[in-house]
Order: sequence, then structure tokens, then C-alpha cells
Amino acid sequence: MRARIAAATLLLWTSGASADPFEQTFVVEPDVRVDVEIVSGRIELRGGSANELRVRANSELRVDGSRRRISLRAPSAGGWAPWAGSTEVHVEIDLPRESRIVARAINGKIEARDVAGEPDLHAANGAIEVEGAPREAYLETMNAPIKFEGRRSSVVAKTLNGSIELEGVSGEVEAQTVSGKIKVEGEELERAELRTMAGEIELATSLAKGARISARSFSGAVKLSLPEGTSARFDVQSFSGGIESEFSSRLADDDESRHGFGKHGPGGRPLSFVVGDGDARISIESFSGGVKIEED
Amino acid sequence: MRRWLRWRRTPELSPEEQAAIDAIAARARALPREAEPERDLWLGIRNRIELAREPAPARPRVWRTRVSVPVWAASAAALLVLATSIGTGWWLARPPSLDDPAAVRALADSLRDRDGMSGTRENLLALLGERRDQLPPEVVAAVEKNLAEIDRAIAEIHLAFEEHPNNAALQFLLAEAYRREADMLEQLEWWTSTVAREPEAHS
Repeated sequence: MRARIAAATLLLWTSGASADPFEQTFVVEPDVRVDVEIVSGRIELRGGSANELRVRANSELRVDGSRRRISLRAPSAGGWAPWAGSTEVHVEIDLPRESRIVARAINGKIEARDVAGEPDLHAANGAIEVEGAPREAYLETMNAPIKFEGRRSSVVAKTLNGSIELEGVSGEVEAQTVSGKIKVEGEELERAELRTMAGEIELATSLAKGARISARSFSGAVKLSLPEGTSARFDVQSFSGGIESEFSSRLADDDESRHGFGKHGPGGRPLSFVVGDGDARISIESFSGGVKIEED
Repeated sequence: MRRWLRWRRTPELSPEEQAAIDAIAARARALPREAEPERDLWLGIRNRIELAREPAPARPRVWRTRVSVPVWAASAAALLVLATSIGTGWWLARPPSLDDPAAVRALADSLRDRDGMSGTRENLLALLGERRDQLPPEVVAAVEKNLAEIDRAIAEIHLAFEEHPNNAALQFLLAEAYRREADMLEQLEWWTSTVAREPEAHS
């Protein structure tokens, strides 16, 4: 093994392909950039403390790069529809936790565990699952769910057809789907944009001072859970659903204090109210779903 | 029915009878016009109605030469015409069924045209048609399903606008529907362009 690592380091491998199955280990920088591409199959990424990158695959891989940047690609069958005749490639990569990962699968799932770099993951027809403590993550698929468990991470998650579930987020969060539910659990959110056409939105978080939160669903309910002592101005509109809040609030356009305003009927009338000093701004719109704001 | 046919064939109305019918017609003109189809939502239907309203070829006036129907019968006939017209207008103006995907899509397309937003959908469909084989069938199915979701949203929002024309939430939601469509186009473009270079990349 040591010999293999040393050889790889000295040669700064420009290309390497091995027989099936594939297994190689390379010495890399702690923040190495890793590009992985497959057509069909599965990509599994696992962060660790060693400054080496260990790759296992059930078929041939093409490897290029250096200690600072490495690229791994599974050959496709080519042709006009490369996904169609391609073999299923299962790639497992152990890499430094701080690696900057770019992974792409057309027809397959991407999983990343114990990563702390900045994963940039794209799948066309496959789920994306990330667990770790990345500072930032960009996750995009078209026909599958996205699941993220982080620690104070900023995340952009986009899918067309699937749910989005984000935990342990902070700072800036963007979640967009057309058909699917969005569920976000975070803390000290500074900015959040949550968008779905057909699905519910659930957001449970504390807010940073001056936070800007926007949740918009066409045919799903929107539920917010905010801690006691939240200070925000709410602008809420639901065309055909009710609006309910547990917070003691006062109407934004009325000096008269109100302690909870109960349920508001449908009809699309906007409702603006202030909780606390109102320094954060929360905007919620739904067409046919109700809006519920809970106090934790 | 027999009387109705006879009345239509009768050649001329007496002054009293003509006055009675004129009075009914005046009342009809004074009725509210809510039943008239809206131009924006019902462009196709409206066009058909307006086509139907184009002046018909001049008819021989022989039927006006004489009439012998009593006033009450003429009034009843005129009311029947009036009720039929209002009923037809109401039927045409009623909300469309959103259970029919083809009808929803046609309605959404006409609304996109009106909003000046049809370019994105056209580009999206062109791209999907051109590169459909480059994407997994499940992705194509998901895109088509989502296009239908967006169509439905656009149609429902516009119908809601009929009752709440200045509702800000509806405007936000409509903009969001168009934005989702643009996002879909962007994602499809990105994926199909990357898939297109796959054979070269992996050769």
C-alpha cells in the first residue's frame, strides 16, 4: 500500500485505469478538490482525518490530477443516451474531511458522510444524501429527494420532483422543488428562501438579527415553529387557507395590541403583524394551504 | 313549440305587441352583464361568441308582414329567448373543469400568451423534444408531470384573479409559477448540455 501511495505521489498521475474491480489510494492535500462523475450507479463519499484518498469501484475508473485536485470518471457507453447502456458503477471514496467535492451522477444516488468541505453534488435521476458539517453545500437533483444533516451549514438544495429535508442548517438556506415537501430545521437563520408548487413547507428555526425568511407554496400548508422571544414582522397571505399564530402580536398597520389573533378565514387578504421589536422579516404566501405559526 | 313556430312565421306585429316586446328588450338590456365571458380568461370562447355575433345575411322580411299572436304569447316568447341567452352565457362563462389536463394546459398556454411569458415554456418544450432521448425516462416523466403542475397553478391563480384582481399573494404565486418554469428550463439545459458531452468526456 505504501509503495502504491508513494508511486502515485511521485508520478502525479496523469491518467490511470485499472482492471475491474478498481482500488487505489493517493496522497492528497487536506483540502483537495475531488471531481467524481458517473453515468449510472452510486457514489459514496466518506470523510476522514487522513490526508489520503482511497477509491474503490466495481469497474474501471479513469483518474487524473494532482495532490491538490483529482478527477475520477467512470467511462460511459457513450452514444446519444449514455445512461441507457451504461453499466452500474458503484464508487466508494474515503477522502479528507475538508475535501472540496464536486460529484455528478446522471442516473444514480450520491451520498456523502462526515464531510466538512463544500460539497457540490448534482444528480439527474437520483437521491442526494449528505451528513457532516460542511460550511456550505450545493445539492441539486431533478427527480429524487434531497436529505441533508449538517451543523450550522448554509445550503442550497434544488429538485424538481422530490422532497427536501434539511437539518442543522444556519446562515443562508435555499430550498426549491416543484413537487415535494420542504422540511427545514435550523438555527440562527439569516436568510431562507423556501419554494414549492405542490407540497408542504415546515420550518423550525431561530432567527439571526435582521433575518429575511420567505416561504411560498402553491398547494401546500406552511408551518413555522419559532422560539419564544422571536422578534419579527410577518407578512402572511393565504388565498384559500386559514392563518393561525400562537404568538402574541400586534397588527403592523394598527397600534392596537392584540394577543394572538386566532384563525383568519380564507379570501386572500394579506395579514401583517409584528412580534417583539420586529427586526426580522418573514414573508409567507400560499394559495390553497393554510399557514400556521407556532411558538416553541 | 307550435305557437313559437307560428309566431316566427307570422308576418307583422301590431303596435301594441311591438311595444310589449320593445319593453322586454329594454329590460333585457338593463340586466347586469356578469354572465358575459371575460375576454382575458376566455379568449377562445369569446372569439367563438363574437364570430357567432357577426351579422347574418339579410333575411327576407316576409315574416314581418303580419302577426296575429297575442301580447302575452309574444312576451312569453321574448322571455324564453332572454332566459336562453342568459343561460347560454352563464354556461359559457362558468369556470372550466380543472380535471382535464388538456383543457388546463390550453388555458394555461393562453394565459402565458397574455402575460407575455410563453417563451420559456416554448423553449422548454423544444429542448425536451430535441433531447428527450438524452435523459432517463423517469426524468422526462417528472418534467412532464411538473409542467402539468405548473399549468394547473397558472390556471387556478388566474381564475382566482377573476375574483381578486389586485391580490398581491396571487401575483407572487403567479410569478413563482413562471419562475419554477424558468428553473426547469435552466436545469434541463444544464443537464442536457453535460450529457451531450459525456461521450467525448469518457472516450
